[in-house]
Amino acid sequence: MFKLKVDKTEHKILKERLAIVETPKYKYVITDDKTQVEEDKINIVFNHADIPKISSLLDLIVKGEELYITGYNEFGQKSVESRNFQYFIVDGDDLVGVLHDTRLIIRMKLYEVEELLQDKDFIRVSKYCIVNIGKIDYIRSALNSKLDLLMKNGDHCEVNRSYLKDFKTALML
Amino acid sequence: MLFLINNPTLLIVSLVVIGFMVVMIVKIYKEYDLNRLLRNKQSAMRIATPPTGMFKRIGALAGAALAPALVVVVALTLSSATTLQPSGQLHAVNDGDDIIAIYNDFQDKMSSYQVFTGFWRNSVDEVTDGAPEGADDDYSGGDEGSDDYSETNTQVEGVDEMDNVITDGKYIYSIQYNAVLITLAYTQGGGVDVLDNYKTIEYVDDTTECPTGFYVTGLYADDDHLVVIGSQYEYYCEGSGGPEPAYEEDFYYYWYGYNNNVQIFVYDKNDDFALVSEYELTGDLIGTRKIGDDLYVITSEYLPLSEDDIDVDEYLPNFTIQGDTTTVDYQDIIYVDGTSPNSFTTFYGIDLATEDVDMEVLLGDNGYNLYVSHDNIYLVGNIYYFVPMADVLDFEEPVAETKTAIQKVSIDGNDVEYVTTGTVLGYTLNQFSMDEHDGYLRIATTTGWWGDDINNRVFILDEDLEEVARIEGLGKPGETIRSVRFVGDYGYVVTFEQTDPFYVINLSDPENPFTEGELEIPGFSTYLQPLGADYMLGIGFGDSQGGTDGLKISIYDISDKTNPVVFAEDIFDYSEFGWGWSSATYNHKDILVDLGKGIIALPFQTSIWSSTTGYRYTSGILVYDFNEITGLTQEGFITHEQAAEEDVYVYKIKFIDQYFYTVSNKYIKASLISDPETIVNEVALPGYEDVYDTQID
Repeated sequence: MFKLKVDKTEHKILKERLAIVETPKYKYVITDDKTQVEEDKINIVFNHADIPKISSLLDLIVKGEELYITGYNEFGQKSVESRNFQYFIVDGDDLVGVLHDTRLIIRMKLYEVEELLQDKDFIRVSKYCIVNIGKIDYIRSALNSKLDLLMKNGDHCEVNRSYLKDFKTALML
Repeated sequence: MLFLINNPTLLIVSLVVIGFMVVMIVKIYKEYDLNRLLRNKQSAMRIATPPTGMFKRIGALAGAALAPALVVVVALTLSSATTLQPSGQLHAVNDGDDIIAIYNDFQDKMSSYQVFTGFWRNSVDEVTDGAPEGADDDYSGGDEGSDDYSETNTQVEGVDEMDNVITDGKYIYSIQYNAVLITLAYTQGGGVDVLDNYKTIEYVDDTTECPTGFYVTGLYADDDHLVVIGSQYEYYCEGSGGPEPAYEEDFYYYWYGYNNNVQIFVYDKNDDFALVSEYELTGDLIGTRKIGDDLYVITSEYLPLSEDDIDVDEYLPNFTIQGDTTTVDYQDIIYVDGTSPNSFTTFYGIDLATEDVDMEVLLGDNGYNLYVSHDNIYLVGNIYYFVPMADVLDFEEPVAETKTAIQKVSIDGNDVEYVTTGTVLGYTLNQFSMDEHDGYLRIATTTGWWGDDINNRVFILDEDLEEVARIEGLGKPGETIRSVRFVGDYGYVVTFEQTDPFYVINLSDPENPFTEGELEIPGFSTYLQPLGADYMLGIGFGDSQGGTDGLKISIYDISDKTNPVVFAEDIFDYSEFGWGWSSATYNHKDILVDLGKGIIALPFQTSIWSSTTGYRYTSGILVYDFNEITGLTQEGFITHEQAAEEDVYVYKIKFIDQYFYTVSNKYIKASLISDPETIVNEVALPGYEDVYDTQID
C-alpha cells in the first residue's frame, strides 16, 4: 500500500518508526524528498520531526474512518468500534458480535454487517460467521482441508471449504 | 529395495509412514504460508503482531510427521540389536516349558524378519538295539610292532582326528562293509612278511544273525584302545521281526531310518580286542577329536519346537554307558540369548580309561566346522538373520550378511565347559579356517558368494571371542577363500577366481595384523600344509596351460615372508576326454607327509579315454620325495591292479618302519619306501561275502 522513498541509510529506521509495510501495489508515496514525488500516487512529503503526525495520518489512511456498531447484552446497549470485534456469528435467531471478553447481540442480519464492514478487513468464513482478520492469532490447517482460526480471545472459528479461496485472497496484500 | 520387496508387510508399513509424512509436510507448508500471509496482512493493517507460537506449532507438527518413522527405526534398531547376533547373555532353563517359552519368544522377535538357518535338520526316529560281536579268531598275534609309523595327518599336533584307516605300527585298522578290519601289518620279528588279515569286528545281531544297522564312521587307536565310532540305523532283514519289505521278494536287506545317535565301541588291544566299553550318545554326529585318553564328541539334535504336542523331555541329550543312561538336567542346559533355539548341541568329554563322561548342552544353533586345540573346542556355524530395512537405513554393520557363530567350549581332561559365543562376519571354509595361538583365535571368513560383494577377512579374537583386529579385502574382486593355514605367527590364505594369490599374513602382533607377502600363480590350492618353517605344501587344481583342468601339487618357499615363491610343483593335466581326481584336495587325512623321511604321498585316480580301449580307470597313490635341495621328485605311483575288471580304488597310504602300506577296497599292499612301486607283500581284504557270510545265501 505504501512506498517509502527516503535516504537509503534512513530507510529501515523510518520504516520501523512509521510501522509500514511496503507493497508493489502501493497507493501512497511517503518521502522526505520533494523530487521523489510520483504523479499518479498520493504523495506525503514530511519532515523527520513530523513522524508522529505522519504515523497517525497513516493510521487514518489504512484503518479508515471509525465505524461503530451497536449491540446489547444483559448490561444494556453499547456502541463498539468495529475493529474491536473478534468476529460476528449467527447464534440461533440472533447475530452475536464477539468482543475479547464479552458478547453483544446485534440487531442486524449477518449480510448487513458484512456490507457494513466490507472495507474494514473483515472476511466471511462460513455461512454463519464473519471474522476480523486483525484478531486472528493463528491459522491451523485441519486435515479435512478446512482451516481452524484461533482468535486472540482464544475462540476458534472454522473457515468453510467454499470460503477458503476468498479467505486466502483476503490475506494477500 | 530388495529387502522391501521381500517383506511386503514392511513395504506397506513404509508406504503408510511415507504417505503420512508427505501429508504432514504439505500441512506444515500450508500452515506456515498462511500464517506468514496473516502476519504480513496484519502488519499492513498497522496492527502490532506479537510473535505467536508458530515455530513451536510447526516444530510439533514436524515431530508428529517424523514420529512414525522414528518409531520404526527405534523398533528395528532395538529388535535387531537383540537378534543381530548372540548377546552372550546366558539364559536359565528349568524345564521343558522354559525351552518352549524361549522358542516362542525367539519366534516373536523374529516374526517380522525372514530367518534362514543353514543347518541340517534330521528327523528323529526310533533306533533299535543291537549287540556288537567280535569275531573269534584263533590267531595268536605276533611280536611288537614298530614305533616308527605314520599317524593320521591332523590339523593340530597331539589332537587326533578320526579316520577310516589308521595304524599303530603293528596293525592296520580299516573299515569295510560296516565291519572293522584288523590287519596285522608289521612286527619287529616278522617284518612285512606277517601281513595278513587278523580279525574282523562285525556288527551282527546274535539272534537274527542280521547286521545290527551300526554304520561305522571312523576309528581311533592308541596304545591301549581301538575306538570305533558310528551311528545306529534301523536295519531290517529277513527274520529280524521287522516289517517285510513291501516290494521285490528277493530284496531282503535294506537300510532304513535315520541316525540320531552316536555309538562308540572301545576295544582293549591288550586283551585281543575284547569289547570293554560301549557308549551311546544322543544326537547326530558333528565331529570328534581325541587327546590322550580323552575323546570329545559333538552331536546335534534338532528340536521340532514348532510342533504343538512336542514333549521336550524326549529330546533331552543323554548318554548310556554299558546300559546305564544319564540324561542332562534342564538346569545344566545353556541357552545364549539371541541364538536360534532350534536344536540341542551337546559336547561330550569321555575318559576312555575311567569311563567317566562329562557333557555340556547348548540350546541353540549348531555348527558344522569343528576346530579343537589342546584347550578349547570351537564349533562354528552360519547364522543368516535377514533383517529388513538394514540396507535402507544403512546400518554401520549390514546385518543381512552371513555371520559365523562360534561356540567356544573349554576342555580339561574330559571336563567340558561352555565358555562363550562369538560372531564374525562371513562363512568359514573348513576346520583350517580357524587356529588358536597364544589364547587368540584366528579365523578366516568369506562374505558374499559372487561378484563385488565378496569380502575375505581374517579376524583375530581374544579369549572372550571379542574382536581384537581384522584384515579385510583379501584377494582380488570376486575371489573367495579356497584354503587357509595358520602356522604360529603367520597365516596363509589362498583366494581364487582367475588366478591364485597366495597371501602371507603377519599375525605376530594380534592387534596389528598385516599382509606381509603375496604370490600370484595360475590354479589354486584347496589345501595347505606346512613343511617345516620354510615351506608350504599346496594341493589343488591347475594345469600346464594356466587353467584348472588338472591336479597341481605345489611347494611354496615361505622362508622370506615378504616374497613367497614357488619352490617346486608337479602338474597332472587331465587327458582330453578324461579326468583326474585326488581326495587329498578336500580330505587332509588322505595325505601322508613325513618330513624326516622326505615323504609326500596322496591318492590320485584318472580316467583316460582312447578310441581303442575306451575309458581306462586308474587309481593309485602318488609318492614324492621332498627335500630342500632337489625339491619335489616323483618316486612312484602305487597301484593295486592294472586293467582290473572292476574298479579298485586305492585310497590310503601309511608307513610302518621302512614300508609303505597302501589300502584299497580290495587289498592292503606293502612296498619299500625306497622302492614304492615294487610290492613286497600283499593281502586280499575280506569281501562282503566274507564279512557277512552267515547272511548271504
